[in-house]
Amino acid sequence: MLRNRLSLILPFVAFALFACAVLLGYYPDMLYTAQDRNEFFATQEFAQQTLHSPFGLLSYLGCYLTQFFYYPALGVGILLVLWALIYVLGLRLMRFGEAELKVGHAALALLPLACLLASLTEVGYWIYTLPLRGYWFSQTLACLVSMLLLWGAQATPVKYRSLWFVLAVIGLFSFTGWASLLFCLGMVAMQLASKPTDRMPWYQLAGGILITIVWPLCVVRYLVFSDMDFATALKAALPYFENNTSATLHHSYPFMLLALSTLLLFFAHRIKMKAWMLCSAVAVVIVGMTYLFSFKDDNYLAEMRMNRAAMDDDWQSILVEASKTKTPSRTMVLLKNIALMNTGELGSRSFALENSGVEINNPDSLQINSMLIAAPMIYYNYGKVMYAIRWCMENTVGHGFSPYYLKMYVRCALASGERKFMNRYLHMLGKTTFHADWRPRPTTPVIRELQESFSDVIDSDHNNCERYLIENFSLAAGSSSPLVKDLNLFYAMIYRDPKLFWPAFHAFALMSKGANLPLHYQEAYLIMQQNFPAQLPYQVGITQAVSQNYKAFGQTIASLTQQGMSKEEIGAATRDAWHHTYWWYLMYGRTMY
Amino acid sequence: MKYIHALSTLLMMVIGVILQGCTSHPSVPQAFTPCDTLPAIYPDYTEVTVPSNIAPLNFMLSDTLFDACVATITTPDGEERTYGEGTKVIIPEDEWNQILTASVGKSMQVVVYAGQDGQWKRYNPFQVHVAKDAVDPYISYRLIQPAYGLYDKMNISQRKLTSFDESVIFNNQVACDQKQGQCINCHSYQNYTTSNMLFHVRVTNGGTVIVSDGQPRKVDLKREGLISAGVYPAWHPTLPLIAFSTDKTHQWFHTSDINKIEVFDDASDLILYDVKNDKVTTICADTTRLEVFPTWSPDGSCLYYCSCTRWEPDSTNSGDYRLDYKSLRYNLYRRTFDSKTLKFGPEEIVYQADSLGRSVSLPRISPDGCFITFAEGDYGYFNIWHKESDVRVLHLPTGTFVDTQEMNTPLYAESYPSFSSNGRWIMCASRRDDGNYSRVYLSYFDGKKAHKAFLLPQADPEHNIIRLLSYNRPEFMTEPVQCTLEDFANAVKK
Repeated sequence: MLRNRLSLILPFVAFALFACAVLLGYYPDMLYTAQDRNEFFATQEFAQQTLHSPFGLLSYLGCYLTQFFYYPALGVGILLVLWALIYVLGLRLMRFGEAELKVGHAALALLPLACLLASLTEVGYWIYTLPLRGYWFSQTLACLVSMLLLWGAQATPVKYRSLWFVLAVIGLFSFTGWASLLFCLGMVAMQLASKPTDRMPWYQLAGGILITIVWPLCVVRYLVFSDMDFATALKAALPYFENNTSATLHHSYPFMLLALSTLLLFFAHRIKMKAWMLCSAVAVVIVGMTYLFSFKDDNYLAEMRMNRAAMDDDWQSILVEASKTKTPSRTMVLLKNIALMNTGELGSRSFALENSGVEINNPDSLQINSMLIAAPMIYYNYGKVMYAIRWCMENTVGHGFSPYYLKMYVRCALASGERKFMNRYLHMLGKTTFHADWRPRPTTPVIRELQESFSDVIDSDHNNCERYLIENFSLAAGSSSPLVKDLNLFYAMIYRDPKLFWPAFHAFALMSKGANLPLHYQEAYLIMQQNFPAQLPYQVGITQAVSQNYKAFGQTIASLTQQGMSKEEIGAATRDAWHHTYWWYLMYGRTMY
Repeated sequence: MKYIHALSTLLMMVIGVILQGCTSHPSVPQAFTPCDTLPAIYPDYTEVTVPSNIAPLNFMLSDTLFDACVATITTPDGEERTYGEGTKVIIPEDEWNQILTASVGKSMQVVVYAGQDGQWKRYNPFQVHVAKDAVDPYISYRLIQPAYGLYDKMNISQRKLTSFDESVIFNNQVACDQKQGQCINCHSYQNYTTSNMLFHVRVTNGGTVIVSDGQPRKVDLKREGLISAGVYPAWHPTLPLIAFSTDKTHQWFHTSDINKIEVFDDASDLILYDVKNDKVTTICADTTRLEVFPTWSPDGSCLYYCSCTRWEPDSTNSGDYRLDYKSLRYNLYRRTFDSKTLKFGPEEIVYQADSLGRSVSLPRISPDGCFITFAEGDYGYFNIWHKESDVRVLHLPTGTFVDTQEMNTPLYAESYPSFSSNGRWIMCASRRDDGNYSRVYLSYFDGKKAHKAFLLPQADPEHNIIRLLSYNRPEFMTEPVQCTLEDFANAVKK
C-alpha cells in the first residue's frame, strides 16, 4: 500500500523538481517581472473592476497570487501546491485504484501540469502587455476548478450528476470562464469512458451541453456582462492573447493541449503500456513540450534584470549584465548607457559594451519596443521627468498600475517636486502585499543636473524614446553642464553628424583642459579628423595605443575592401575584432533608430 | 442590466443593513492633548458651506500619522453624535440627514480627536455651514485615466448627490471593437434635463449620440466644408438647437513643466445644429480667428463663446507654434440670437482677457443671467492642465468680478465651472488633490462670493485617493438620464 502511494507521489515529485529547475533555474527574473507588472490592490474598487468579466473571480485571485512571485521561490511553491491538487484530482478522475490501472498510468496526470508549465514559460514579451489579468495563476486555478467540478460530478450518483452542469455553468461561468467549459468537455469524456451502468441518460448530457452553449451567451449578451462588447466579453472568458495591436492563437495552444490531456485522463485505462514505457513517454512529452513552448531569449531576461537594477540605481549590476552579451537589445543599450552615464564611463566603455543593439526576438505578431519595456525608467534617468510620467500614464492605461509603474510615478513625482502626486502612489503601493514599505531612493545628482540643464519646451517623442534622446542630446550644444557636454558629444557620435560632432567635441575638449580624453572620444577624434577634418586651436592628446589600433583598423578594412567584399560583409567579418571601437560602430553599426 | 441592477440593489441592501449594524459610535477620548490648529482631515471639509441635501461628508485622517480618529458632531439643537472607524469618520445616511435637517441655515460643529498608540490629540473645532439652498440632485462626469494620447476604459457616469449612488450612463466597451478602441466625450444636457442630451463617440462607431425627446440616435456632424465634426457642445435652453465648435486640435508635451501637456487649436469655428431637421449652419467661420466653447444665455437670446486671433507666423514670433503657444489668449464674446430667424447678431466683446495677459475658456451663465463663470489661465484654453488656472465669476451688468478666491487654489488647476439650476452652487473640476487627477469640487455661491469649495463626498473618503481616474466635465442635472446603456449602445451600433 505504502509502496503504491509512493509510486503515485514520485511522478509528481519528479515533475515538481523539473518545474523548479525550469522556473527557478532559468526564469526567476521573469517571475519577478510578472509580479512587478501585475496590478493588484487590496481595495474594493479593484475587486469590483476585476470581478466584472467572465473570468473575473479567477483573474482576481490570479492577480493576488501573482504578487507572491516577489519571492520567485514562494510563488513557485504556491504554484506547486496548486499543481499537486490538480495532480491528485487527475488521479481521482482516472479512477485510480479501481481497476485496470497500473502505477505507470499516474504519469498521465502530469500532462495537464506540463501544459500549465508551458503556458507560463511561453509568455515571452507579452509579459509587458498581458491581456489576461492574473494570468500567472488564474489559468492554474481554472484548471483546478474544472477538475474539482469533474471530480464532484464523478462522485455523484448518476441520476443527480447532471445537476453539476447547473453549478458549473449557470452558477460559475460568470466567475470562472473557460473552467466551466472544460468541465462540460470533461463530462462528455466521462460519459464516453464510463461503463453503461455508470452513465447519465443521454438526454441529460445533451441538456448539459445545451446549457453550456446557451448560458454563457446569455450571461454575456443579456445578463451580467451586457455592458461590455459581446465578442470582447466572450474572449475574456478564454485563454486568448489579444490586445489592440496583436492577436495570437499561439499562446492558446497549451490550453488546447491541457483540455485534451484532461480528457485523456478518463480514457487512461484503455492505454495498455508497460509502466516504464508510459512514464518515459510522458517524461519525453513534458520535457519536449516545455522546450518547444518556452520563450528562450537571454536578452529578454537580461532586460528584466537591468530594469530591476535600475530601479535600485545599481549601475554596476547593469554593467555586469551588459558585459555578458555582444548582441544586446536596444533597451539594454539604453539602460547600459544610463549606467555608464552614472559611473562617468560613457566615453570610455560605451562602445566596448556595444551600441548597435539588435531587434527584439519576437516570434509572434506582438508589437513591442523600449517604450513598453523601460521608457519611464529611461526618460527618468535622462532627467526627462515629464516624459517619464507621460509614459507611465500611457502604459498604465492599458497595462494597469503595477508596482513597477507605481514606483516610477513616485520617483518621477519626487524628482519633479510633486509631493501630493507622489503620496497618492505611495498610498496605492500601500495597498499591495509586498511593496507597501517601499520608499524611493533620492533623486540622483545626475538627474538633478540634467533637469536643471534644460529649459522647458513642448515637443513630442513620436513614441520613440531612443531617437528622441539621441536628437535631444546631440543638439544640446552650449550647455555649461559637464554632464550635458559629455552626453552631447556621445550622442553626436551616435548621430554620426560631423556638424554636430565638432562643436560637441570642442566643448568637451575645452572642459577637459588637456587631460587625456576618454578612449572612445579619442577614437572619434581620429576618424572624424580623417574624414571630416576640422581646425582645432589646441593639440588633442591621443594615446599611442589608440593611434596604432586605428592604423590597424584602417589596414584591415583596406585589405578586405581590396578583396572585393561589400560593406556588409566587411562589417560582419570585422565585428568580433573591432565591435568594441567607435570606428566599427561609425562604419558598420546600426543606423536606424 | 436589470438582472445586475436587481442583484446589486439586493447586495447593497444587505451590505447597508450590515453596515448599519456596524456603525461605530465610539466614546469621546477622556484624556487628550489640545492642539491649537484645525485637523488635517481629508477631504478638507473645515469651514465649508454645504447644500441642505448633500450626501454625508465622510472624512479621514492620514493613516501614516494616526491609527484612530473620533469626531463629535454637534448640531444647533445641541445634539451630539460621535463617529469614528479606524482613521475614518463614516456617517450613516439616515443620521446625516437628521444632522443636516437640524443644521439647515445654521452650522454644525465638528471636533476631531486623533489617536496614535493610545495617545489622543484634540483639534480646534470647525464649523460646517448648511445652506438653505439645495443642490441639483444629480451630476454626471466622464471617468477617464489622465493619460495623454492613449485610452482604454472610460465611461460617462451619473452620481446622485444626495447619496453615494453612482451608475454608468455609457461606457466605451459596450459598442466598441477592442482593436480600434473608442473614445466617448462631451456629454451635454439641455437646461439641466436629460430628455434632450448628447455625447460624442469617436473611432469605433463614431458619431454624436443625440437624445431628442428621450429618443437616442447617432448623427454624423462632419459635413462638407467643416473643419471637423461638432466638438464642444451647447444646447439651446429651450429650442432643439445645439451650438458646437469645430476644432482642429493638436497636442504637445512639456519636457519639464509640471503642466505636462499642451492642447491647442490650429483652426476652429462655430456651427449650429438643428436637431429636428438634421441641418448644420455656420455661426462664424473666420479663418483668422479661433472660436470655441459656445454657451447660451438662459433665455437663449445670446450665444457666448471664447475667441482669439489665429496664430500666424510673422516677424514678431518664431514661426513655431511650440515656442509661441503662450501668445494664444482667448477673450469672451457674445452674439445675439433671433430664435425666429435663427440668425446671429454681430460679435461683441464681453471680457477682454488678453489685455490683462489672461485667457478664458469654458464659460457658463448663471440661471438668472446675471453672472458668467469661466476658467481663466495665462494662455490657451486647455486650462485643466494649467496650474495657474482659476474659476472666475463675472457680474455681467456691472462687468465686475465676484470674489472667487476661496473656491480656488493658487498652485493647482481649477476648470470646467458650471452653475447649478438654482444658481447657488458652482461646480468645477480641480486638480488640487495632487496636480494630476481632477476631482469634482462644489462651492456655495451667494451672489457676492464663491465660498470655500468642498470635494464631492464619497461613502469611503479613501475612495478619492484610490480611484485612479479623473473626473471630467462635471455637469449638473435635475434628473437622472432616462435612456439605458443598452439604448445608447443600440444607437451607437447603428
